[in-house]
Amino acid sequence: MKLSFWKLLEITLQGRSTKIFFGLTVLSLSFSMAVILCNAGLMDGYEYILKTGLRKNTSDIEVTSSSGFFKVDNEFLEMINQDAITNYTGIIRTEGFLVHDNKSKGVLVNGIDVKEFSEINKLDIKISPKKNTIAIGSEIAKQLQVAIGDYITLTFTRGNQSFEELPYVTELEVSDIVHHGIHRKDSRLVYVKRSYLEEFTNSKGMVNTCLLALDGFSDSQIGSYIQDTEEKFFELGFDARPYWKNFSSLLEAVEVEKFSITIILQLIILIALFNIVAFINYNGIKKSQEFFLLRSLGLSFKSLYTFWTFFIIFIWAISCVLALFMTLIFDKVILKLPFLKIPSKVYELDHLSIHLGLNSILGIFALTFFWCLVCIGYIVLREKKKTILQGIKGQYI
Amino acid sequence: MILLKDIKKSFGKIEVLKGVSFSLAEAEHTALLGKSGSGKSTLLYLLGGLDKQTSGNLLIGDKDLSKLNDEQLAEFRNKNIGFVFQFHFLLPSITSLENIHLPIKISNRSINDYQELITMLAKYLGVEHCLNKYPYQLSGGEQQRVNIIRALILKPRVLLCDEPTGNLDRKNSDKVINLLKQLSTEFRSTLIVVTHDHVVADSFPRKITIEDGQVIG
Repeated sequence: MKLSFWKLLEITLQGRSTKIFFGLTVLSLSFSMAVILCNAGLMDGYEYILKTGLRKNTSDIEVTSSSGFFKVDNEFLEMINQDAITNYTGIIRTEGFLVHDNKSKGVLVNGIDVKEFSEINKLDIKISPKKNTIAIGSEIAKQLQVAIGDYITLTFTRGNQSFEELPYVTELEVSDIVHHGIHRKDSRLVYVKRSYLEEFTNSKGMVNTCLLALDGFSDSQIGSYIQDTEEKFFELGFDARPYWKNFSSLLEAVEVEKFSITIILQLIILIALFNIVAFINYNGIKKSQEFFLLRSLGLSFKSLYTFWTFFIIFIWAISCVLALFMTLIFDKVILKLPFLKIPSKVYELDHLSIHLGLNSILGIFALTFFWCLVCIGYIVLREKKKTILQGIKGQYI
Repeated sequence: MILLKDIKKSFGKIEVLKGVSFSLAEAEHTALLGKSGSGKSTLLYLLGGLDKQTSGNLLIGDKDLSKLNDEQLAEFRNKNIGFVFQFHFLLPSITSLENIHLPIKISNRSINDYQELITMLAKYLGVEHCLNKYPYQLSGGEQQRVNIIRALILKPRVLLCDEPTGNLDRKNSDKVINLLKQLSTEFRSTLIVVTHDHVVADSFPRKITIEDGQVIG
């Protein structure tokens, strides 16, 4: 006792007002889903952009030693003996001040080997190999109003025994302005040749930080790697940290917020579901004659119930596609509209875009589907109470 | 062929049928007479398996309708019962031909097998020019005749008609009743027509009068 889904759909959607009501119902559900998708997407996007930015300039793992300076040589590599490490570079890091035109700024000076550093990172930092130049973060350049080719004064603080012989002031040409994509880094990091800092720190061939790259590891794999090797690094007097460690509390907060917002925003889905229920009620009244006629002709309640189930799933499926489309549009718009620009000082990032993981998409679609199932349950209970006679008589009386 | 024994039907506290009993033979033509609210339509729908009696036995052939579940009852209706409603009751969103196809599609049969019968009935009833038209493009009489083709297309054992001439003039009314009689005779269908029109009822060899939920004659 079957009639094709499309034939029943044609009967259900017959009439201009019904079509408009149906269109608005689908639109409201897809809009509600798009709101949740956009929220989750922005949170995922935040995490993605932050982590990508961090990974771009920190590599996978950052190793420091409790004894300060150490040599990154075969002995060191044998000591940590990790097969997963594919690349590494040593950095000398120290704090300093930049002074320009009566403005000063505290910075973290990174002494790098440009070739090694560019191999392990995606940052293409331009520092002259012949003369002493400096590459500075984009926010520092903005604050000190410095451009490439300008000269800037770098001073080092006293206090660390290793640096006590340092000359305090040196003048360097700005050879590059570095865009890390992370506000804190753009406003804090400067780069000079490692050999330049080695000279001042009397630490020839030694570094105080080592960046390690692992063989195509994902975040969870990096996390597991650190967990597995933590004890060994600790015994050897090293501290190994994943690239997101400095921002971990922020990332955790975003994760918690994403979950809470997704749950709270389910309310919007519920409101959209009221529209579906309203549409079905409207349809039940307007098309009662047709449906009860079909039942009198031999269409069973089960067939009708199956149709309503597929009909709700049909609404859900169209809404899912439309919601994804709306999310894509929002993603394009967010980068264009100035009032949607985020304050980078607060959120660390200079821009935000939607990045939806498959899990987030499926999770949101599944939650909506659950509510649709509730809706189907309601329809079955409601329709089951009506007899064909009542339906047909309802038309006659 | 049809046997009703002490059929009672209540809607809440209101008892509409108060113990109706009668039997009808195969291909018998019967008029069901009664005033508005007497219970004749309720009885017709019970006969059509559109509702279930509160008590009593209703047998069509060897099937006790009260013992069939929804799915079985739907199948029974599709294969054995043809309905002709007062208000034509054609689906407005599809053509007359598609309306006629509905019972065939519901029964999962091939439309091709019925093409010849449809053409023959349409010609016989004078509505062959209406088949590709939508119901709103047809007159009341044409709609009713399309309705009759749909009711008869699966050659049902029972043809139930609820005031089929209710909104037709005398000329069209006589025509429709004659067609129903001729076709049900041809298909060996038991014909039951609910009417309050005595002229229509008098043209039937058997009349059953219902009053206040009981058969009085």
